[in-house]
Amino acid sequence: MLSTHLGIRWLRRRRAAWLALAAITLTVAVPIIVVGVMQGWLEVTARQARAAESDVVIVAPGVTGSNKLRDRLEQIPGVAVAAPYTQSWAVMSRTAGGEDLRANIACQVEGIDWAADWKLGRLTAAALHAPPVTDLSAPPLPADERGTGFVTQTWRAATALAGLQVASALGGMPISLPPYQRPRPGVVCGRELLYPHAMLPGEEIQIAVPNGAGGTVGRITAEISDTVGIGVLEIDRFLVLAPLPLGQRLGGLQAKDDRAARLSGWRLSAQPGAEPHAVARAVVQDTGLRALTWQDLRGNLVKGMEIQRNIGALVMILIQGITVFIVYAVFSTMVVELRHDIGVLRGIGARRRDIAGAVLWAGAVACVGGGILGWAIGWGVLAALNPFSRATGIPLFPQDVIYTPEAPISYTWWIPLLFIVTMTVIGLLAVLLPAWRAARVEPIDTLREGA
Amino acid sequence: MRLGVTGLRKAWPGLTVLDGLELRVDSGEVVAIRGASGTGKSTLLHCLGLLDRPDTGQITLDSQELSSLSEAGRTAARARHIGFVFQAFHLLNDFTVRENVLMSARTAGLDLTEGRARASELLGRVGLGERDGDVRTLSGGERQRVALCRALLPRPALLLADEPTGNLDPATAAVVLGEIIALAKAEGSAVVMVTHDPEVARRADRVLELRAGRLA
Repeated sequence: MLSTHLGIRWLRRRRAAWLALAAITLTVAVPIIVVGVMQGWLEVTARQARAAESDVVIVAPGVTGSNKLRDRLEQIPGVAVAAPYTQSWAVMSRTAGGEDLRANIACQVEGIDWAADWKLGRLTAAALHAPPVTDLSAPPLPADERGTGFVTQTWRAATALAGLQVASALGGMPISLPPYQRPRPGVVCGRELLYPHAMLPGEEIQIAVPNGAGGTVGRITAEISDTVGIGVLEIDRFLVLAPLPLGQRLGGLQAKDDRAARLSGWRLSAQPGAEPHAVARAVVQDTGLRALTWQDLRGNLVKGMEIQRNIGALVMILIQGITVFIVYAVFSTMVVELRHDIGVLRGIGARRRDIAGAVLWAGAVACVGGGILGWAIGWGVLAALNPFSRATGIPLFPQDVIYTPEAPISYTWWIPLLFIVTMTVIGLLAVLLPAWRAARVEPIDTLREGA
Repeated sequence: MRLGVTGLRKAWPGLTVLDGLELRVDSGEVVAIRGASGTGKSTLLHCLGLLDRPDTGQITLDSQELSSLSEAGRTAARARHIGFVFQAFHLLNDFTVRENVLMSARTAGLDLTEGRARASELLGRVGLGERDGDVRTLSGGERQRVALCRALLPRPALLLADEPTGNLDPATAAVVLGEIIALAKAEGSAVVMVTHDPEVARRADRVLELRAGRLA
């Protein structure tokens, strides 16, 4: 085709065209990098929020925690695992130290069945044992200082003591042992809850749930046994995980007289491929209990990030708009430079649409070519971001604010496609006027000028 | 008769350039048109080449009336039936020798395989069979030969030449002129040449003088 032949040749032979190509490449690569990281944050946050809340949550204060209900829930199509929980807003304070250290800290205590929650996927190895400090250069905690779920240091000490007592009794060799201390129950705290107050595993704390009338519904003394980092600040700064019976005691849900122990609800994980909303509907139909998805519970967080990402993408598209001027200037100059050749071509029978098509082809090739190049560079930079940070020791984000040492990156296909398509559309719009001008060149004028 | 012109008139404000001009050129005939500067030789050539519209009059080529064609029709007629050779060569610097010649096959919508064979044949006939590459490296005579090949590739019914030897030295001019005439006759094209060169006029079949808007 004449248009293609002319367009590609004109583009190849003009240095200014390389400027347009470079501008297009940059304005595709930069948005891919920026929005790729924003999308990465969004995906990580959504994944963490989903993990924190589980796929579906039955919010039913006072519901029974019986195994019969668990079996029934796990038989509902789409449900993989059901885990009981209690939830209470509480006030936490240190038992040791001066008045200035005994600050009342608001927290949300969740009573959980550790084994069931582990199966649910909330408590992952990556989430647990996180040090309650955000200094990335700090070495990892040694094994003996790391928490072990609800197992406390005092429990470990008491167990060791009991073992020694048994061994000494069996061996007939009485040894002098320190006085026995009753082990304290362990609670796992969100690391952003501990960090601002410089609290560490092993410390004794008091947790109380106020009843609104000056008293308490429940009060416990516990030891911080471990830390958990879900990765969502607004969860990690309030979360306290306690053994289920402790949670029930705090919330006044423990067994009493003839009444069985109760729960705040159940958390459910969906089977792979099952859509949480569909699972929630099935639960409501089957049990009549109120079931919410993780999107219902943490939707605003994810939606807020989606809005930020969309605004970011829009700003990037507006920045792409600036490239319009470069593309327009380059192609206008090209048409002026080619005025003689266009006149000759028109003279030997090239149609107006052949000439306009050639300029548009050149524009399309520059936009798509620059776009694909920008895609490659954008993804290349994204792939190099974290290795670069690791190799140079330069953190990508302020460590005091964001405790993820690496940039979460998304290689979602629609991001490069969006910016290549918008760049091509914008670029072709910028080339329209030069193409129209090229098509209007009168052969007789240019042939007279050249004579 | 390949080319027939009757009652051709073209005027600019305050100046009548062509005034009822008549012309007939047969197949293979070479007609040279002479005239003082400003008498309208180039305007006549532009009208014949459908680059410009006459005010009145008819131009027929192989019995087809051309002067009333639409813009698209004139462009198509230029591509298929009319070849141009200019004093300034007007080659396309972004394209190689062969691509320049082949360009007229592209604009005429001819089969490119056949076009390539024909381009080789024509370039061979003007002694440029082995030459390709950047047209800017060619001499003036070679450029004009390439322009001639480009003009003749679609086997045009009419070949228009505007001072084709004007930018060449006498020896080269004589060779190129010989090639234009020989090739045009071999292809059966009607040739209209505008020239000031007495040698060109001497070798034409007919010489006409443009004076007061008419040929004599």
